[in-house]
Amino acid sequence: MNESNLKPSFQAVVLAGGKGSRMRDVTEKIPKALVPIGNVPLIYFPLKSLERVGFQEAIVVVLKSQKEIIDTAITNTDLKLCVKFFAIEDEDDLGTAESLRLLKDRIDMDILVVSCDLITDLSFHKLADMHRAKNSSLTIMLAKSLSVGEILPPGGRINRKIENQFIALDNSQRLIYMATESDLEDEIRIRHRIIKNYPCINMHSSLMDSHVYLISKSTYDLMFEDTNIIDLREYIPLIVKKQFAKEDKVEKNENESETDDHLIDEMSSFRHQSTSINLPRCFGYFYDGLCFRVNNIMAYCEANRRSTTFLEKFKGIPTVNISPSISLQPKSTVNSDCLIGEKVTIGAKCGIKKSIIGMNTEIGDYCKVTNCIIMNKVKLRKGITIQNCIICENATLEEKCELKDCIVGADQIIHGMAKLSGEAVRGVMNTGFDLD
Amino acid sequence: MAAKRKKNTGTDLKQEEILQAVVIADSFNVRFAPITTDLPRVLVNRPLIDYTLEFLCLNGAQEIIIFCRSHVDQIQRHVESKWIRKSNPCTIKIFSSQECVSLGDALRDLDKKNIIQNDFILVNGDLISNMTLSPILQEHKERRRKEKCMVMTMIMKKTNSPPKMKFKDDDILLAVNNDTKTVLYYKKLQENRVIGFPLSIFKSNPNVSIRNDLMSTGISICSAKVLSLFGDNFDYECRDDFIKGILIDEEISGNTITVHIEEKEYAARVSNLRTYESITKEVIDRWAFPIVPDVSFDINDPKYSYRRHNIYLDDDVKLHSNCKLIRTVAIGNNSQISENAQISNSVIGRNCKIGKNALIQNAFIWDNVTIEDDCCLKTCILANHVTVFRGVTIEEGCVLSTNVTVGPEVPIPGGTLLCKSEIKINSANEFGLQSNAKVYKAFAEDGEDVPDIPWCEPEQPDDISSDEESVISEISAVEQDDRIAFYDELSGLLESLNENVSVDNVKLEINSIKAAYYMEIDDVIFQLVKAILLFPLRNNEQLSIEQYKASFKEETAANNTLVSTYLIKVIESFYDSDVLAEDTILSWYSNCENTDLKNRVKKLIEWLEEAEEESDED
Repeated sequence: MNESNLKPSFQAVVLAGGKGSRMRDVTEKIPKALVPIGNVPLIYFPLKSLERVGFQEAIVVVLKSQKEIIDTAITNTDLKLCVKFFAIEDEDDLGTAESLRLLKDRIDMDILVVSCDLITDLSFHKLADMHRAKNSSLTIMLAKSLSVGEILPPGGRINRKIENQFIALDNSQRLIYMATESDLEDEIRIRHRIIKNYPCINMHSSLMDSHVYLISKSTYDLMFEDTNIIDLREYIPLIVKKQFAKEDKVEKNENESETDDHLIDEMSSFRHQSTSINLPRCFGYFYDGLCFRVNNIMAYCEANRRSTTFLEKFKGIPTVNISPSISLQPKSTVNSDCLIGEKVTIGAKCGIKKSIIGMNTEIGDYCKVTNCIIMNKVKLRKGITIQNCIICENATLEEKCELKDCIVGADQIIHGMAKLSGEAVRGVMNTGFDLD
Repeated sequence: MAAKRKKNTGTDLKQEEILQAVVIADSFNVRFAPITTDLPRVLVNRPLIDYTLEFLCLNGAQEIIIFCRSHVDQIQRHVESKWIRKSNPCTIKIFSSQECVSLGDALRDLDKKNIIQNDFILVNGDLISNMTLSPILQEHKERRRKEKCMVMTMIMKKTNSPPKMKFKDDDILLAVNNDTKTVLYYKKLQENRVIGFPLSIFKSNPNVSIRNDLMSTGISICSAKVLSLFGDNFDYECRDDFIKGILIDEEISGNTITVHIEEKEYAARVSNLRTYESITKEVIDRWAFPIVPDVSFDINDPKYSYRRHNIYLDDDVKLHSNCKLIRTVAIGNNSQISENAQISNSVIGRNCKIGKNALIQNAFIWDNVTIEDDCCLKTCILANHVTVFRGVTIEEGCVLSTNVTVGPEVPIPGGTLLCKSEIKINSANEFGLQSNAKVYKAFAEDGEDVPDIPWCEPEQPDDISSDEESVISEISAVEQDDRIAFYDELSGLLESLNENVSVDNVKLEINSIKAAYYMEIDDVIFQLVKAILLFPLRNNEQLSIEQYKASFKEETAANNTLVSTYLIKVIESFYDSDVLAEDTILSWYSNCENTDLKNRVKKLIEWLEEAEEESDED
């Protein structure tokens, strides 16, 4: 299938107005859309995916306050896609469904909704093929959810919790059931009628909804009926449920059916089709390849760790993991599994393994950095040992710190000789943060 | 066919492992009553148990233990004469106990006898299957080696029949771990509106299949532990109790059950009259190949010759040159069919006589049955030595037990169960002057519910509707009973239109009964069309097509708008189901004087004309 065929039948919407509340420790100073993954802002990945399947423009929903900075960040990348911003007021605190409703005037066809935190190498046309082949109202991309390993994420145990989703598909990929663990008590309840009509369904608890939705225009229009729904997270399960709703709940146009024209129309066409148009049909496309949703610390770390393997696929050109512009003092070793940004200076006798280091970062002598994510302009003084940490922009670690499983927020200063483990250091603790 | 002796590959055990099979040759219910009170069951002129034994022998069972309760002598005689002989490598033992009233009792009895040491195959004596068990046995043993607590592999068959074809007692809902095939949830589906699955089964199993398209084959591969579990739990009566018990105690005892889902091969249990009917036809239609009538497993078996349209004739069958065997028919040795008899989808046993002009559809006739002239038989079982005198009509779902005579010249209403009356009946017998029959009354055995599963559903009022129903069957989810009640109310409402009730009120009423019966809009439309179509028939049952058309036009169509709006649909469905030809519709249209009606069906007519033009062009 020609990929450029996608363009005229779908509009792309990227939701980047989220606050990143599940990874507050790193999104304190920068928008979630711009947290670096392999030294590239997060939003680059979904936009690039759209560009690659032939989209020439995309609507990006952003917070008004973040529009400028996101715009600049996008212009600094190799994206050719025309980005049309749609800014929403910060203080309105809009949910994703509410933001989509605001786009009403701009949407005139089926939409592909992508979250700004999606990293996948799936070519979306596969999703579109399914959407069209099944005459779907809503097609959702499903992926394996991040397995909770034994490794502790930085910032403590609290970041390890991942909520289970329960997703049921039948053999034709029809989406039968969808719920999150927190919405359920101790039972999954399925209607007798559904089981009768779909006698073989598979309930998955290891899959996640990757927040890529192909929403047909009519289903988008349905969103205006349930204006109390704030978030897509609530709306999607609702649509899934509505598939099996009794007709009268969905159809409110009793008056309309009084006109003979309508009746004749309805009756002379094949009955099946006329009713199935009214009830939505949802399908799930399961993709077993690369798919991350960077919406929590676990996923953020995992995506960064694996960024050396997938960055090339997105850029389309061979990437240099260790920028030639770094200055490296003698007797320091930088393993090839690292990704080091431009203009990084590394002192003498350092050992750097499995880490991502952002631009303009300075690393002093005798530092040991293992399995860390270090953003731009971070200063590591002499003799620092850090392991499994995230160090945000502009933070400074004073001499001989030892940090394990920690997150250091933007602009933070960690005092010399500090020994921390499993902590998240953020703005409120900035002043007077003293140890020992 | 020779069973191979498999050496145990285990290290410590030097003893040879014998593959044992247990056949429970009693259903512990009275679904086939009254015929089973006298005789074991017969299917396509062979005792049912032969199929099961054949299945086990083919799968290499070395020792078969038959457990029976009723007809012990007959089973023993039959098995001894046919199955216990030198050429047969497997040993067959027959146990019987009158006290056993359930599968659980039977297994407890075996547990006490201590004759089973290894994994064994447990089947019911009513199984018909062409499956190959060896890979499943192998898999079972391998899993047993890894998981000591896996006690049983049950074998389920995937069915493709639409939901409404299922029999209520076989409607199983199963949740299985898709990777390990461990059973997580097992339930007989009842009328609950909502089914709740414990969340824990999904949390601990990433991929769970919820299946309602499976049918129990009654075959399970059990470890010897199953017997002791039955022995320990006196409340386990049937397999379901056992499965439920295992699932409930899983956390404590750790025992698990695996399921094998068979998708290709044939396996089915003759567990009630409906399955008897469908399996018989499937055997004749060769679905269970090589288990077909013309392949015999024994010298003494009938030698059928196989003909076109799945017709099988044994030796010495006398067919009159004028009789018609339409399709799916097996006729046993020395039977004779007289002139003008018409037989389809039926089995006729040995030494039967079918009289002139007999019409036999879906009938299962056992040995030595005599059917006199001018009889009409639909969907019934006639056991040995039944005599049907002339001119009898037997409606759907009747069962006539051994030695029953009925007739002459009487209709037997659908669903009648007849057995021979011991007392002399006076001449006023409702089943004919020469009849010795009385209606069989099922009695409950020891607290068991009398199964009330009628063989045939209540008749569909007409053919058009059943055609249409098949179109919408996949979305039909509302219970049949509701639909019938809904239909009745609907036709009542239509009647009221004649009494000058305003159309708007009727519309309102329809909407309200729609809500009352939880009808889908599809159903409403369907039932409404049906009600309208059958409207002229309500008071007058026999109408010619012409009268029907006339009354339809006069009484309803022209006069009330509700009906006339649906007219286009009516005509279309007539057209689709080939009741009305295109030309007929077009000529009616050109002769029709009612312009209002004409306008309403204009779209359809245009479409028809267009279609005709198109086909002309071709």
